[in-house]
Amino acid sequence: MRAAKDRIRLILGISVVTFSLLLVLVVGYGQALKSYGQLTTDTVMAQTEAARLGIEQILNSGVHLDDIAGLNQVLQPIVDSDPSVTGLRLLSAGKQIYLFGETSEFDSSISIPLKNKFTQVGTLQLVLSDQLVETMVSERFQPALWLIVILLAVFIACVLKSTRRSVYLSCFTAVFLAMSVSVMILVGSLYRDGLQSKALSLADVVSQRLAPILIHHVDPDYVFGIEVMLDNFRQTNPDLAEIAVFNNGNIVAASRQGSALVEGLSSSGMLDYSIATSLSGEVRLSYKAEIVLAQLLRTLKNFAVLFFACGLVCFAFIRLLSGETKRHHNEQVLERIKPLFLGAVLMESLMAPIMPQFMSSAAQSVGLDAGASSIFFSIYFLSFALTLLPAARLIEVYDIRRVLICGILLSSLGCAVLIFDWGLTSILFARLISGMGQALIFITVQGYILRFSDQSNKTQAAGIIVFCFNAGFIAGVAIGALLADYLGDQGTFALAAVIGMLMSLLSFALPSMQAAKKRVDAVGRHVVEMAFDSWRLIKIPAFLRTMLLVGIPTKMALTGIVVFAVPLLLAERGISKEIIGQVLMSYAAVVLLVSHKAGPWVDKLGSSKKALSLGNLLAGLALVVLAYSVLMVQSWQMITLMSLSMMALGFAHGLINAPVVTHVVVNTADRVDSDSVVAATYRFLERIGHVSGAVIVAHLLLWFGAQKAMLMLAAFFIFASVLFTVFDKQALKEVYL
Amino acid sequence: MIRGLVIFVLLCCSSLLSAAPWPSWLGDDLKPQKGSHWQIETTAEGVEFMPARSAPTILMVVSRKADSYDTALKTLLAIYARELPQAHIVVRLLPVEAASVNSARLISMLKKAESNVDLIYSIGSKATVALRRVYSGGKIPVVSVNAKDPVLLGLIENELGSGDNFAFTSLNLPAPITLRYMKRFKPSLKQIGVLYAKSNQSAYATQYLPLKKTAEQQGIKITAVVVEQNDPSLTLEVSMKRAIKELKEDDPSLTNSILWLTGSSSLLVRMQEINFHAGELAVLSAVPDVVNSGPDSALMSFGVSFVNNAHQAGLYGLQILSGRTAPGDLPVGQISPPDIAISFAQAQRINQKIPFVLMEMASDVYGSQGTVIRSQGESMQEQQ
Repeated sequence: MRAAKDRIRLILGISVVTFSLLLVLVVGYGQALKSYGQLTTDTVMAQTEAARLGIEQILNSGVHLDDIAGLNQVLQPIVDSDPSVTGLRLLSAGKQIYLFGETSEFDSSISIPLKNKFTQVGTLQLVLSDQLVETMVSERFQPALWLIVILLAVFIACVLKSTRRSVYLSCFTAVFLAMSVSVMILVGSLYRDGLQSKALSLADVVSQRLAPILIHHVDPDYVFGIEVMLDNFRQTNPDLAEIAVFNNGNIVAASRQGSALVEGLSSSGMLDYSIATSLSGEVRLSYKAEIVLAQLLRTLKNFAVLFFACGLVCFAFIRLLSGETKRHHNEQVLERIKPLFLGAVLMESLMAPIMPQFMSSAAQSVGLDAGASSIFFSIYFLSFALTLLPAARLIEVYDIRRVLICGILLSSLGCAVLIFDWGLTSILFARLISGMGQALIFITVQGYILRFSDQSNKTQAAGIIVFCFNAGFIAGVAIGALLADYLGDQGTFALAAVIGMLMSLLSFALPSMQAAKKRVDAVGRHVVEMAFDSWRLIKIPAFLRTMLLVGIPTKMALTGIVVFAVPLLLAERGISKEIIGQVLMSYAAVVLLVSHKAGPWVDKLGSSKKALSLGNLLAGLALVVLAYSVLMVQSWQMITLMSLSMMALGFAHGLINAPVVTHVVVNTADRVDSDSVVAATYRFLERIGHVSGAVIVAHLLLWFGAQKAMLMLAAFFIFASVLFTVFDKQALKEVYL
Repeated sequence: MIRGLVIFVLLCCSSLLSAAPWPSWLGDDLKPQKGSHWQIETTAEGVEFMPARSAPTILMVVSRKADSYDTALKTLLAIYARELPQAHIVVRLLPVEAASVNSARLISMLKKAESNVDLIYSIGSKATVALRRVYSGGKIPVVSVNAKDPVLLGLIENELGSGDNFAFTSLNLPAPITLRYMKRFKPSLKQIGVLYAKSNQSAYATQYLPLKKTAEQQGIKITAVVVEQNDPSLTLEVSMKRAIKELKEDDPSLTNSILWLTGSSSLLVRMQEINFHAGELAVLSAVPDVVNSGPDSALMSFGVSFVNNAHQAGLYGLQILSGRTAPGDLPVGQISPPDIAISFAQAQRINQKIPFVLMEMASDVYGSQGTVIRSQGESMQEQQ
């Protein structure tokens, strides 16, 4: 039995580590592909620009394109500049006068118009093969696969030696870091190769423009303004720090006046290239270190984000994986719930960075506007909310584990349906069943926690939900955003479905609990019961106040602002998915951190009112920052302010999330028998905010614009905070209840 | 059998005898080579260039024999061969008697043309002025080629177009553009000596006066260098010495001055003397051909090349024939940026720096040893 458990533990461990290392590889590969692909395009386009300059110089003097002799000499360097050039042709009034490659390839070509002094007289068409770039990058990444095998062997050796958590975590960290460093070196070396090719092309352009001096030996002393040209050239190629041209070893001109350049170029040796362009001509150029550093830092940042995300997953699994035994059965169940719930949330949040745009595109494809997309977006939350009531009853009449498995399978099916392009109806159906599935998961997880926790650790147990939800959200948005470019929308949905399937298998590790009551009643009766509970609770002023001033607005802010508006506003400014994911992640990370601290603090002091009031006030301030972030001209300013705003909102929600359940449970304890009923009813009613969030925020954005809409919402939260502080008088009593 | 052979030989000889010789007022270069798109028919009146399929018919009226007109014709023939290969081109000489245009014969030629000609090109200023006088408002559209600015010639009121059956192109670079390029060449420009022949009223009216007006508005002093070889006080040597002395009064080193050579034919052939008298003063011209690989070249030119001017006239003609545009709606065709030629041998001689931006724009560049670096925009092969 023990050996079987160890084997399962080992397999699980290897799976988590393999998944993490593969993620590093895929993210690094995606990054290398993007940057190397861009450099390859830059290289070819620079060479094409040189050819265009040469041809247009002839066209401007009145020679017809058909009559230009030696076109091969002008165009061949484009073909030679990079193997990814698979097609090149020159058209003059529709007639092909130069061809390299197959004619059929030119359906998706880059067209460069060629003009004389009067009109466009021809077109240069260029075909770049992404596939060849991909093959090249793949070949360079092949050794990394072997590295994964070696690192896995190291990991297995370590884990077999010891079952201690610290050893497990250290080993995971070491293996992850080793992989990250190796991939970073690979990415860096590919980037350097790309820079070198680009340097050659840029040198060709400069050399061509200075041909009278470098090739035909015109004395540079009789020409002025070359420095200005080089400086303009440098400015139009922002990667370049300096560029200088030499003839017979003597400097002709440099992009920056003075000898400092020459010294700088010759002595620094940092990212500088010296390219002989003719018998006596030489172009020396140097790239900006900050551009290359920024590239490496971006990789580093992505790996750090990935490490954090994978770390959270690993941390959730740690008790299961490390083999350390727990004394109490209850705690063991709670430990098993953690990775399962995290995985289920991760499955859904993998799609978060792409979902607003995906829904907008789906709406636009059938001729509907952004308002309609927000309604589609809300379908998930609506089905989530409507499923909560029946789900709460279902776990009382059916085996809770079965309900959980059903939820996971429904949610996975929702992700799987999205893989196929079956039209808007199927998308809406997929979101509907995903919402139902996630609601079933949520209620069953809450059911397990309530059943396996007691009064002493109620808030901390509720904190498991907050921790796992946010950890899953962080890991999901981070991994989803990083993989989105590489996997595409469909790939991301497929990955989410696979994770769902794995989670359904993991759910068998939880105890099967027989129905508490006989399953004689119809679901309809349970709905009536829940409606009755809701009506009963709504009549309690403290419950209603908390619901209207705190619970619903908080959930509305989560779905309407964090999940819907922020990704859309960022995407509208052309900000990449990985950054969108990281902004969302900053929200969840702070929620996680604050919830972790807020739970015990509220349990100890019983001061949930203060936490909720402060949370609302902070949410209002966060929205003021968000309102100003959309006014920023520079993308980086917008990203920074939005991240700050999301962190503040995360802090606010961290203060609210766990204490709010305690607050309503404690404040209604004397009027309602079951904590579970209060919690479930509260969770159901606060979903009104979930459901309406995207619709309300989307319409506010449409009617008033981003800034005004956010300021109005900010005013509401501040006003709600004041009202809650003034009218909620039972707060002090809570301590003693 | 023998009788048949004799008749055949006689027929061949008669057809050979009936063909008129190639006219002296056209260059030999225009004769179509083997495999050319064109076939010609020479008559006593002129030459007909005929394609296999001939419609529409285009009449080209040439002012006189000139290399520049041959260039214009060659360019137009190439454009029509490519864009409208079925066009039938008829070339005629402007009827002139005793150095004056014979208006009656010109009118007769145009009346006759109205029955079968779709478009007329007037090649040269003389033909353009003559056609404008007798055929303004006529049935057939007329496009000018290789002619000076029609506004400066007084043919139309402004550059927006004629409003009738004429469309004009201009060989003159507008004075503001000329001045802009002069200042690009010499940003510290304060004075310009403008060299023109007194007898060349066209150069005076279309080049000197507009440049003077524009330059003086911008605070740049214009010194007229008028040359009349028959007047001892206005010989090239006397006029230039006087002008340079005047220029040196305000600019002793002449670093802020240039000499602008107008398109006066009598002066263009005297570059050696002009360079000699100019000393270290930069000589620039509106005529691209004045800059060449030889020692007697101007330093730089920016003007309108005959090829580009004819190219624009060709495009105007095609637009009119296609029915897309009425000739009167077409603005006066001006070339921008100008065609630039540079001689580094001259730059070296007078120790003058050339702006890189002009060197890059130049379609013709000659090296310090007289080598051709760039010709018609095409760079020469690397020299070992």
